[in-house]
Amino acid sequence: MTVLERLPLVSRSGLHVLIGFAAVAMVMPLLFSGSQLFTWTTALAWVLFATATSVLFGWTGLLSFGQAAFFGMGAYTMALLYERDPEMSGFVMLVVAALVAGVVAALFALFALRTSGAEFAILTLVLAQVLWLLTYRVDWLNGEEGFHGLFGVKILGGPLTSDLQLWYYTTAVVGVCVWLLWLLSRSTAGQAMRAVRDDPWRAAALGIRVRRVQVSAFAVSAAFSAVAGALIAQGQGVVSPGMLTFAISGEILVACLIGGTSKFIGPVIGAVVLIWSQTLMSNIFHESNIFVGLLLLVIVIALPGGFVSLPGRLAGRRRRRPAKGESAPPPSGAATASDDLVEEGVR
Amino acid sequence: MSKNISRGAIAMTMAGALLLGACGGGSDDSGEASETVKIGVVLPFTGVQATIAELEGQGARVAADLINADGGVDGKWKIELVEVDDQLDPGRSATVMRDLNDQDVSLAIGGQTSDLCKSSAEASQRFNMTFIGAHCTSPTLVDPPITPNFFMIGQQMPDLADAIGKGLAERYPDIETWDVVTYDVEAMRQSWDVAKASMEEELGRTIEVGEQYAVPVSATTMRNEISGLEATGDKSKRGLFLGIYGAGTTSFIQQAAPTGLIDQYGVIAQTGVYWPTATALDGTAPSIYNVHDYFYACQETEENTAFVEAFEKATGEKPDTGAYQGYVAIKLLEAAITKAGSTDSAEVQKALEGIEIETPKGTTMTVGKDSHHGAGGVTTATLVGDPNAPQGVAIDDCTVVPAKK
Repeated sequence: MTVLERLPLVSRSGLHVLIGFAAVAMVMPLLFSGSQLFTWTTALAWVLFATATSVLFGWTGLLSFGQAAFFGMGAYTMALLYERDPEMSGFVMLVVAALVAGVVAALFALFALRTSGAEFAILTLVLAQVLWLLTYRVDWLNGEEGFHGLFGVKILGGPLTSDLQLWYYTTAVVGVCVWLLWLLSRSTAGQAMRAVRDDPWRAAALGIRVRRVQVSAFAVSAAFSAVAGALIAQGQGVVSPGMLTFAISGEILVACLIGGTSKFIGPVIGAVVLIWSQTLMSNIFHESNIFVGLLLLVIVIALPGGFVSLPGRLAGRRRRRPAKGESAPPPSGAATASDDLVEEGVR
Repeated sequence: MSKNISRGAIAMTMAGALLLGACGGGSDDSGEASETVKIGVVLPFTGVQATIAELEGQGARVAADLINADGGVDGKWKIELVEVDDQLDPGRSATVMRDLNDQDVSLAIGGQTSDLCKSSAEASQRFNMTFIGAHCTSPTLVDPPITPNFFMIGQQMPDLADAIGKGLAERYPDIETWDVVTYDVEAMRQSWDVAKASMEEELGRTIEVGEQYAVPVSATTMRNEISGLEATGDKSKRGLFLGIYGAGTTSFIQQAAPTGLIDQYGVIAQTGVYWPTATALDGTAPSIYNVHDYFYACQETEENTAFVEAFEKATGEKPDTGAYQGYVAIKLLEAAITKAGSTDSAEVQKALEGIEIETPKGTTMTVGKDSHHGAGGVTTATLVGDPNAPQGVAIDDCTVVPAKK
């Protein structure tokens, strides 16, 4: 029995998630400083982005090639709000960014979800491309120039004047958002999303309103992706059309894949691995993106279920290893299927 | 089970964190600070703009070598360049500026594009680093500067476009219609608008615009645009205005070559960097009337000769405008440190405001006290492939246009 199973109140309330983030917030500045702490700050924002993407991709089974649309929407919303009213609280900006992205996503999903599968994925890609183009076409979005000065966004009455303050702020926001997503994953709504993913026809037969669940998942995913984008914008201090490119949408899907979507923590691990592999590789290799791509390819091929499948695979391998005098189990079939069930089904 | 795995994953993450901490580089010991001034060079040394960035970085290296060979800055400080790769990504530039700060670097140059200049300036402001945007050209970055620590020496696109517009009107008054291909970014679209206005002002008539295309900066194929240009019929009285640069120019020329399109135009003009593309074409580069801060063959000053010789000695190549900008940025910092009598970032920033230096072009660069822009004049010239010319490119018909007062 795990510690959490002994403490059902903690488990149900997701208190361990908040405690985990609080611990990370306190420990990291003791271990890292300067650009390394900033990289962790960036990684945390991507943790939220990856977890939000997993709501759609992992929990609900909807593939989106356009998550950058909402990531960028959050960043641009914050920039526009800051330009209009520099005195506005950063927390209010985050909430507005989430609402804007959530509403746009819900409206988009109402129409786009008339399709499914690859068609839906392509429509999400089109949405992101249209928004990217709009940044060049709409004057007040400032084209290539984008926005700057977002270091000045006020949090609790003043701007964040150091990277340490930025770290604590980002950890707090990401911690609360991931906690909310944890609660959602354990709620009836979260279970409905997974039911829709596993078999939408059966889910509908059970009385679940499939379209409503999918639209809600899309909106929730977009809202939290927007918060992540706004956090990145604050961290960098600038917003530019690069935040809406397909590269961003692709990278966040890769983060989900390398972490694995069968467990809540999978995208968290994936985002950290992605950001740190990019950073460390660029310090080692000249054309680092090639090596980052190769590394991620190797991870995805070696661990199709992502990093979260690693313990299960290792345990399965130990179980399959025949003891002396026992015959070996069949090479495939029952054992593999059983492992897959453990990996995919049990949460 | 999932909770066990969650704990395992957390343990893995923490172990990774510890490992990263062990591997991570700490800040440099700055025991030699009194004799060495570290200057960061922030450029996209990898990726699609790597060729241009390498030349820009080499310009800075040559300037540092020449200054060091001459006894250092004000005879007191040897320059140590610290190069970092922003990978053409604003997010990455925010990180590498912190890398520089970790290495006790308080003065830096670089910034390939406007958004990179912005993110580098924003990040460096946090540590009160001085940042000179050597290669960005957008007027929105200066006057007032985006941050108090930011200075820009790339000549602004309106000045470049105005010069090429006037030069085209003077040299090619018979061109009746202009076809236009620009990157789909404000600065390059604006370059055509300004050049057109300047031509119209000089010629006293309205310029007719034929086909007009805006392509993404990342475009690797322009076959649709080339097909559109091909369909315009007789081109002897038509000009082609290219507001593209780097890989875009190479793509355009290579894809247009089989059609014979380029030879048909009365003149081709370009506001983006052409030199690296022209040299890569190994003596076959088409004739293009180009404008930029600098062309190595357009002036015969003592400083330019020394710069060109040193650059050629280091690389075997002639310097381009990006190399010149890297060179001037370092020379500007040298002048500011000398004026301030200190390498302290705040003092250097104060010294940079209103400073004047002589450039290898023979023009004076003046940094506006309030604008933080170093206006140093522009140069127009025709670049054409010539197997007998250095690097296979002849530079003719030069005009050095001093900065407007």
